[in-house]
Amino acid sequence: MVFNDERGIEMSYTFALVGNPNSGKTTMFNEITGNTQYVGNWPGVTVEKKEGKARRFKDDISIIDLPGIYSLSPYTMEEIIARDYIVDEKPDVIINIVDASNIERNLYLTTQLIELGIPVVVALNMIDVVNLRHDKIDIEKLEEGFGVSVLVASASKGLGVTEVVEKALELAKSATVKKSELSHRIFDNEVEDSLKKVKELVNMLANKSGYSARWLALKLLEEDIKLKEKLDVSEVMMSDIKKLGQELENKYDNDIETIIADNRYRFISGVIAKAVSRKSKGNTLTMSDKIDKVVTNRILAIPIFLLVMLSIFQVSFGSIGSYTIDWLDVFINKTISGFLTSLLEAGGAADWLKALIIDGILAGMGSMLVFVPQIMIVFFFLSLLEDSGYMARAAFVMDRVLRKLGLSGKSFIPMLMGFGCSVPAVMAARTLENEKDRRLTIILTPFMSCGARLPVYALFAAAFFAKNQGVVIFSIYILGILIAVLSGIFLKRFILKGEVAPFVMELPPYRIPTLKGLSIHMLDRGKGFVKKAGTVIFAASVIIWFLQTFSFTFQMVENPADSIMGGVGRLISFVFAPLGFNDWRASVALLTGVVAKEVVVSTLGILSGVGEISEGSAELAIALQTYFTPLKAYAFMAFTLLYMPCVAAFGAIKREMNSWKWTLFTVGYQTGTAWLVAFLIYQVGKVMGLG
Amino acid sequence: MPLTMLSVGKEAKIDYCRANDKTKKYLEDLGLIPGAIVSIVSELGGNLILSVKDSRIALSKGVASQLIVES
Ligand SMILES: Nc1nc2c(ncn2[C@@H]2O[C@H](COP(=O)(O)OP(=O)(O)OP(=O)(O)O)[C@@H](O)[C@H]2O)c(=O)[nH]1
Ligand SMILES: [Mg+2]
Repeated sequence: MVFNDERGIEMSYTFALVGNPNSGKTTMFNEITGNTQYVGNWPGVTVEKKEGKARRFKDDISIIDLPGIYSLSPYTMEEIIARDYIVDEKPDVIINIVDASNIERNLYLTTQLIELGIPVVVALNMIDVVNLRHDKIDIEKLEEGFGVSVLVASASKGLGVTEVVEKALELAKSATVKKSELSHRIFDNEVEDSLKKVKELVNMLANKSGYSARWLALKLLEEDIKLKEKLDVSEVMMSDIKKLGQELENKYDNDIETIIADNRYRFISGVIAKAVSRKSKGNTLTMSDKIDKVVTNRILAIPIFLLVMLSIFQVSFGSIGSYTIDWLDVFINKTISGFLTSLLEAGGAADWLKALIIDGILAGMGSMLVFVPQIMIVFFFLSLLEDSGYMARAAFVMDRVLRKLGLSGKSFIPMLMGFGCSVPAVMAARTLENEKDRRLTIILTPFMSCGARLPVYALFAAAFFAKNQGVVIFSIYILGILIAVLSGIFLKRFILKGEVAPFVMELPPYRIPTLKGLSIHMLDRGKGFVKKAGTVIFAASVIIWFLQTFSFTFQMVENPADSIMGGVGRLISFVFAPLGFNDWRASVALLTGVVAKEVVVSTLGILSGVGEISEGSAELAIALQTYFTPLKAYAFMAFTLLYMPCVAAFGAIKREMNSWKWTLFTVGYQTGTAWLVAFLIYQVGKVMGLG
Repeated sequence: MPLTMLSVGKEAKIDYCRANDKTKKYLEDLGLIPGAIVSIVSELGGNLILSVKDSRIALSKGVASQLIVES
């Protein structure tokens, strides 16, 4: 809490949204702050801390969105982030988002949060679902049971959101933090007695570290290893605590963690029995269960999965997808280019300026912008999978398959996201609990062809495989999956050896995706690509145009081959000679493609001098045919698919691997694989007489 | 008996869990504690979708066989 200078009236507060995965925290965050952070219907969407400012409030309120947690004993990496934030940064108020439609399990975390000594407001989210079921929740009984304020809300419908923040503000402003008065104690007398003893032992440590003594006592009684290491608890103290724990274990004939968890659940059952009255009977199948009986059926599961995936590919890369490309191509390369040319001519612009704008910028950006709608279609389908809840089922269905490759079903989610963009996909691997599984997933995810690589395939497929464009592009995607499969087996066998973590994942109920949610996802990603075209690709286009126009002595050259770019290209082209594409332009394009994979297309566009005659990609296709054959083109596409991802993804990999060694291994492995695969394609193809 | 032997649709009570400490703790946090009533919604090659209270938990065969239930 910070007092704001002279006037001392307005203050700043920090409220953290804490709750189980998939309980609607980010939806609530977006409602409060006006942000558009990623929301999806599976546990583990948010993997990092996000901050925003509450709108519509006089005070300066920071809202923190956190990854979901089931308890304060974290299991996976993103859960550690959440727990560390809560216990170390100590927000002024915890807004505990509870999924009211799954209230008992969600309140388990609440029993832990109220022990922290931080004021807690409970937001009973998804109350709309409860109302639909005609169940009744008695709010007063809940408040009484837990000793905290409880408010109902429906974040996705925007109901009760302001009230929650107001309540939190009220709590933050009331100077004395009222200790929560539980209706009865959470723990049995035996546990309370031991707890009291531990508390005496750790009192000093609690004062020093700033943690609440009771919470610290509980955690150490549970033998929380991370906390023990962090506070450097002495072995003597630890063994005293262990002895107390053992006494309890003997009394209950169970281990300490189970005893404590059991106590918590019993307490919750007691409160729930009074506060919740159910219309629905216990063991009836819900709508989601009925869908799952079909979707995860022994015989139907895999065919349904394949059907879903194939339809997505068919629509995105088949007729509908290519229609949008043709349409935009004409628009950008005829209409806009023609318009700009006449504008520049009418304005009497210098030749070099005309060349820069038309041949450089427009050729560079335009050749990439035409793919934005198609990329958005891919994202539309990905969102459909994510928001409906099918994504989590697909992970379940694929678990057995992935286990054979040394991965768990959880790896499926980052990999599928990889078809959109590698950056969030690599980060999504945080939900994997096992370090080796996580590393392996990060290495393999970029083999899933991201949206930015699509323009490259589309260009080459149109130029060299005009009749079978769809099939050729599809085969590249399959190649990526195949290489990931083989790499998985290879890396698991020789490098990342070890047991795969068991697959344990909560499945969300199916929900009907909202148009709002889908369009936000689609537009957000589309906007991202346009923004990239306007910034990174724009800058790259200018630089590339410059480097191919001037020689090392800064003379304007007639033939781009004599330019700086030509020199660099020829220098490195020997690497690609065995792969068939040793033309300097191809080499340079792969080099610049590391900036962003679309830049491969922009570079080829600029180097081929397209734009001048405003015939767009048809013109570029003709130019490409002078230095590629279909076989070389295919090897080039394969290389583009597999070699190291763009710098943004490289950065993400570095962050997530948290080790230079692993980062360099990853991109080295990817680039080496790309080289080998392209080599095999070209050489085998040549032997078969396809060259 | 291990959870893997329970037939689809039948209810059972969790007796104890044989998984390693870390997994066991995670399962408990998810509501799979001794005494909890569970039933199987769907089974796929040994992997299970489990119903416990209001939530559905997917488990691979390995973990499922470490959960001992009594019906
Ligand atoms: N019916 C209903 N659905 C909601 C409500 N709030 C959120 N949802 C949906 O619940 C799902 C999860 O929402 P998120 O906001 O991503 O949940 P989260 O808690 O941030 O999830 P993690 O980041 O994975 O921890 C999405 O499909 C939302 O559309 C609500 O009040 N009612
Ligand atoms: Mg979230």
